[in-house]
Amino acid sequence: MMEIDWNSVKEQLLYDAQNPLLFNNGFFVYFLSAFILFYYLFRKNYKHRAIVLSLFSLYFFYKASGSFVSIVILSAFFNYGISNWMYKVQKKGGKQFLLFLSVVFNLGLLFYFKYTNFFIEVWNNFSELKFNVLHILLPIGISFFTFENLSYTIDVYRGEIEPEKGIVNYILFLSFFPKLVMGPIVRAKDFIPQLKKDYFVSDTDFSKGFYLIITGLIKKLIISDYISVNLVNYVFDGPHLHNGLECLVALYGYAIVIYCDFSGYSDVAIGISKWMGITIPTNFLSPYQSKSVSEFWRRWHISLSSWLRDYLYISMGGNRKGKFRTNINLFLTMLIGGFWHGASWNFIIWGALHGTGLMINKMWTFLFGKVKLLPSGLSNFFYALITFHFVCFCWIFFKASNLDTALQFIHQIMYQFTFDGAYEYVENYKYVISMIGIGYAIHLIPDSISEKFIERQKHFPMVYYLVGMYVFIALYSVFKSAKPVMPIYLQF
Amino acid sequence: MNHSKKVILFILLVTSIQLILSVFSKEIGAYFPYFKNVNLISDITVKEKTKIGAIETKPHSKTTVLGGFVINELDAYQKKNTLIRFNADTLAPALPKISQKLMQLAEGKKVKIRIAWFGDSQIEGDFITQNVREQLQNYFGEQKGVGYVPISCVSSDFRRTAKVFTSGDFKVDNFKKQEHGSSLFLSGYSFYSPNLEVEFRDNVKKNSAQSTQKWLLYGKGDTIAVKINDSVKKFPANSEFNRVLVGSGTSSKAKFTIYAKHTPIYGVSSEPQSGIVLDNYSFRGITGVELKKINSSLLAELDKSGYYDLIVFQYGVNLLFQPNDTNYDYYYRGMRPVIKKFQNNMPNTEFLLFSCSDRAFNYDGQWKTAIGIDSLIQTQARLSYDTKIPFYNFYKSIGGNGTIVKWADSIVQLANKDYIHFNFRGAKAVSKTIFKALICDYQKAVAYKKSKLPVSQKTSVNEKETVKLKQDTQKIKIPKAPISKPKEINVTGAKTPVIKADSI
Repeated sequence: MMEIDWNSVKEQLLYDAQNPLLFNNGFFVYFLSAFILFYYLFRKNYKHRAIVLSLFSLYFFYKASGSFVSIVILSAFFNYGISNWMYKVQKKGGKQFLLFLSVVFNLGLLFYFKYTNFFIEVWNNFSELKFNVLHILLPIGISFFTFENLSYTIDVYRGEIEPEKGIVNYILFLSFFPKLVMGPIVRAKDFIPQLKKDYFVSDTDFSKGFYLIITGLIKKLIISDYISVNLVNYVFDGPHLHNGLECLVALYGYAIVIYCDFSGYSDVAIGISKWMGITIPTNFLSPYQSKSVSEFWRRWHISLSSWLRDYLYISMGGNRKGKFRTNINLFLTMLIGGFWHGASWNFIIWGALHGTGLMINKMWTFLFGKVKLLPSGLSNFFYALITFHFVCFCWIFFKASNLDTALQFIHQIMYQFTFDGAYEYVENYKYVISMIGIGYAIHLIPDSISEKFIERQKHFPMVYYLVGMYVFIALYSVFKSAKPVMPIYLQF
Repeated sequence: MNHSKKVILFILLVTSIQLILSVFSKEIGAYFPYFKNVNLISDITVKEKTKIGAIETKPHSKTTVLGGFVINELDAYQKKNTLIRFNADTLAPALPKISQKLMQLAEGKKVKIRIAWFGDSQIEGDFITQNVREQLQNYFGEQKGVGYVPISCVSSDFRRTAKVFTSGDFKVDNFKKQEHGSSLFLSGYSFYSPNLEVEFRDNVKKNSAQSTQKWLLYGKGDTIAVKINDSVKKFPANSEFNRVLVGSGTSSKAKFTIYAKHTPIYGVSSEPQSGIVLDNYSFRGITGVELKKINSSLLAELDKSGYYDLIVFQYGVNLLFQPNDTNYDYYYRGMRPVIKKFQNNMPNTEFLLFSCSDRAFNYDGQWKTAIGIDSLIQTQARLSYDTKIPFYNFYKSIGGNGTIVKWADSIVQLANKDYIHFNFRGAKAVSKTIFKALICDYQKAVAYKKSKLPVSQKTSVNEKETVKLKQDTQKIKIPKAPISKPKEINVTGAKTPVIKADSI
């Protein structure tokens, strides 16, 4: 007879650093059931519902990141207080000072947790006086909620929104569990008003939510994790042990891994939010179909690129100060965007490459934008191919653990490329290669087809959704690796 | 219409069904074993007590005592951190000849000791060997030099300890593709070129005042010509192994041009005039059986000139290519003639066989050490036992079961995620373990020397006496032995004897 181990039950309720709460934990099923029950019970009273949602969200964050939950609460109180204060202050100088305080606080927090050791190492490389590296753990999601806090106070400063009067709503804006640990980055002006509406889910919302959750989980848990564990991780760990062909396949594999990993998690977050009656804007739009680098950034991690555009690029002057400054602003925005991803030279290089790519893209459009040598279908195909390979090249720096590994990886592709052993390689890795193919095939499905499917699906009975869910569960059980594969963007 | 009720109904239905299915997980598991991966209650139910931490080492049921010495029987292969010479006294060094030369080196004599270290991709790019070499050279006189470097190989670009830049076309034969029919060098490569400019750089850090000799190594064929500093000289290629000095002095570089269209070029060797030379012979993806392609005459030629003192074979991970393989008899059949060939043609050289290191596979979603690893290591020990060459249990010495998984999954990684290869940190760590085992063996030889009897006499065996040990610890007084004083050993029935040896 099955016996419940109550000590294990207690342990399950507490934070476990080895197994932080994510959408793919078994515990999440209990969490979501309990949450939705309470959420539904308080559906008529938005204030109570917001309290329930806040408490569950903070608990989710505690289960994902332990005592760092206090940082979310602290930063919520600080930004809530300072934005209300800023709203009341009439003089521009006073507002500027408070905005300055807010920026220093938010970036200071991010800087301390994320960049202290990087700068200590840089200092140690150039100075006789050496400092010991500190033992600092990075709170999950800090990069995301720091940007949300900043956008909020900047919007209040610009007079675009009125500050939120209820602290619970503000805490909820920051800690809303579907997007807390990995985004998408949401804006208060889009998000908070939705909390005050009745709990309403349309038939399209239900259908779209289901579609996003299932496809998101397939992308993350089946496609991305399988390719990561069985090919990408170890080729990037030791590129010198693999010839150019193997490295190239691993690179194409990584391009689909990072897309499926991040967009999959975002889709699940957006899907769950849909089921809660809250709409979060889409974060990915088939980015590898882009025909230019600037289009890529309109399709990839949209919530970040639009944040960088609105709060960094425009704050630096955007395109208002001449062509030269526009290019410099573009470059700096991408450089800082790269550094946001992680405290290493590789991310800085990654950002700089994209910045350079955007500048070249702008110049190319200026010089040859109206020149048509090939039929548009063919030229679009070539532009998409070039853009895709440029993005893949940049991923090498994004994925490699250090600059040496990245350079070694490039070297293998350029100088150790051979088809010797290609047959055996394909034979040994046929499942992984097939999975990469499936990943790209899913990516290339036009949005119109999925939209049509979602429309049709909304008429299907409940049994269809149950069968769909269990097909996924069965598939997941086959592909699941025992050790959880942490989402890539969790580290940012 | 509001579908919020549908949301809650769906979530609660899925959770309830999954919970009910989880209660019957045992029954479902009989038909669909993967169900355990989505069992919702597996973490909160009382599990049956399972035997964990099964004893890795098989008990020694017997120990052989020979003329007063405890003798290494076959199951001594499980000992870690020590080089084992089977059927020999446990106090005797496994590598007596090289130890004698090392002692001369330690006494300050001008002796050159050369080691050939064969391996697969685990030692590619001079991984492990660069650290073993460094430690040995530091220990014995600090005379540095990288040793042998091929003209080119798949890991050339990655290797940090030496670089070879070439200009001019060359053709290559190797273990996998032998189109030109000439002999392959120990590295598994041979190069041919009518005109090849070579710039060689030894990157091993050394005292700037120390000089090194840079040799060009080549095989049998037509007379070759070498241009150094605009002066062209011809050199005969009558033997299977020839060498020409292409540089000497404190510079770490050498630049020369080779004209050898029909003569195999083997590579370059940079070495101190005396001290330790350790040559890395890595070849990706092999198991050691491929060494049969090396000509007997080359081996004999090398032995005749006393070129090598020790040859190390470090293979195994490429035999573990199927997760469920447990029978490696085919490897025994393939590798034994290779070792015999080396032994027969190189009677003056000592050999050392490493066991495989650790390799893991994904078994039902969990990375674990290959289930066939014990069987493979037993096969390798049997090879060593039957061919009478010393054995080193590399796997046990680095930590045994689960090591590579732990090293690949730790925050500061010591191994790659392929669960096969050590990264540079891991390679450095295992090199320390290897170095300690080598030095331990050397110190055994030093202790033997102090007893003023030749090693050969001490290790000779005339009679055998087998003693069945009781399970409890007991003390055996060893009869008068040809060492400085009688030794006392603790023998625990189920374990390898632990020796209390004051003079060691």
